[in-house]
Amino acid sequence: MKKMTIFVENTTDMDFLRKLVKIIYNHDLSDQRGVGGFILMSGAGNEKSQNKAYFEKSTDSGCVNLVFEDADYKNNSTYGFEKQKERLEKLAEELNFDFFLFPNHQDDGNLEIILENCLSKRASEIVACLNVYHECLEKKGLGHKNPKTYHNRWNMIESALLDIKKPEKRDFSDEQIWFIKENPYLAPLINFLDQYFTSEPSLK
Amino acid sequence: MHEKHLTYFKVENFKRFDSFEMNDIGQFNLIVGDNNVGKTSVLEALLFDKETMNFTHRLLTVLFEFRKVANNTQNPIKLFLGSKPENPKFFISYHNKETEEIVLGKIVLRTASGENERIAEETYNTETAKEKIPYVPFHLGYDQDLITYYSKAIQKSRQVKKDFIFALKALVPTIENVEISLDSDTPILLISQTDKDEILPLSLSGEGTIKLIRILMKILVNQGKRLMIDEVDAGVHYKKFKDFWRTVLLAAKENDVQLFMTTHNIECLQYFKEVLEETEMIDLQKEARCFEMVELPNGSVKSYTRGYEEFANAIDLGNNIRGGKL
Repeated sequence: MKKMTIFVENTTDMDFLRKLVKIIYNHDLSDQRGVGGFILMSGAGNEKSQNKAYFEKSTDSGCVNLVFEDADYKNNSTYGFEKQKERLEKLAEELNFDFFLFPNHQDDGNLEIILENCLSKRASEIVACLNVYHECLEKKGLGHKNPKTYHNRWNMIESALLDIKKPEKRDFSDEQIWFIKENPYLAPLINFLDQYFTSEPSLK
Repeated sequence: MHEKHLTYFKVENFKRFDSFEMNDIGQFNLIVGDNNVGKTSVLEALLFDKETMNFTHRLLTVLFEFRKVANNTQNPIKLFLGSKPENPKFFISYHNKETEEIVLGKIVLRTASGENERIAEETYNTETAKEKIPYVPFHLGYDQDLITYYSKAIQKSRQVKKDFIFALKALVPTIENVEISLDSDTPILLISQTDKDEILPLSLSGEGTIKLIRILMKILVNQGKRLMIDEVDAGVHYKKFKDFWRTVLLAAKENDVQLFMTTHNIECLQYFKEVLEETEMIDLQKEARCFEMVELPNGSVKSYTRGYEEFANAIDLGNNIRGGKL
């Protein structure tokens, strides 16, 4: 397997990809922040202005460069899949990288859409309860007290199923909450990763 | 930036470098990288002077006086200018403990005014005094050269002396005066502080204070030129880094001095970034650069330039900018 540098927007992207690669390919990706590991880019659009030196150094060091970003939704400040794809295709030639846009390299969206589709059956049942709870709060004008965000919801699921208030780090390998292995929703992402990773034998 | 300051630098066949270049150089340049990647060698190459003898004397003084490369008549150290042909343009032999050959190849510098400088073939104007060398070694504490700097560059002007003492308050808030004592056989520098009755020799001050004094003196005697500082953070306590940086950068700005500084220290880099975020320092951001030196798989060394924004972003996100092998 070639050495690689993985460029992501934030630490959630990094944590998710590390777990996914471990579960699917039994491969441990380094969590080092640098060439040969992960580079955090602090959002889309910073590839060249903030990270050009990392792309150059990584290429010179013989690494493959992979970029993972949200496709996002087309509005004033973000791109949407088509625009993002067009923008990154131009940059990829200059900075020498391959890229995948969350959630499926086809639609608008983001990593959160992937994660919603990776909730276990049990976690999805909790989501149904939380939807009722949030609806009720909103009716009473208290929606802002506990906003219906993805991360809030996952915290509440973890709190309900794992008996912890807020984990220091989200554990995507916990099958009580996350359904990663053989999840058909992840097929486009795994097809992309298949180009760069091969399964490593387990030491069992 | 002063029009004589470098914006581009390339050296060929110098020590470990077959070829090494730095692009988009600013006025305040940090050089980072793994051990033995050649950071100090870059500082040595930057001692370059169009007058060949000045350059060779600077280089040899740094090697023998500061880096303590020992003399040995059996194994000379050799310096060539040109590409080591049979009949080099210039050749000098010095004595060294181990066999070491230094070949100086072509050096090209581009200044802010767009002028190209090349090595001159003539040799003249020797510059032997080590206090004139625009270089601050990392380990050098109190030494007699400080007396020379002080008497020549500072005490002759009341305003310069006042500014110098004000700048020192960054590390020694109670400092009141610096003076030369001739009471003993060898003159010494003394400092007086508002909270102490005795006037004490400067040599008793902490390493960080002496380092700052040395840097400030070097800045004053190198107005409009460049100054190389090896391991700029050495001896400075992390709580004093902000004051240290503010003082050094403002003094360099005031005196039009271009700085090239090596470091390994992440806190030193963090405080460099933080000081440049301060309101009165923001203007200096556009002149700040960080050069990451990396040894590539083929053994060559390359530098990657980061401007302030790219550098600050990497520090904030915790991405490595200090080099090292994969």
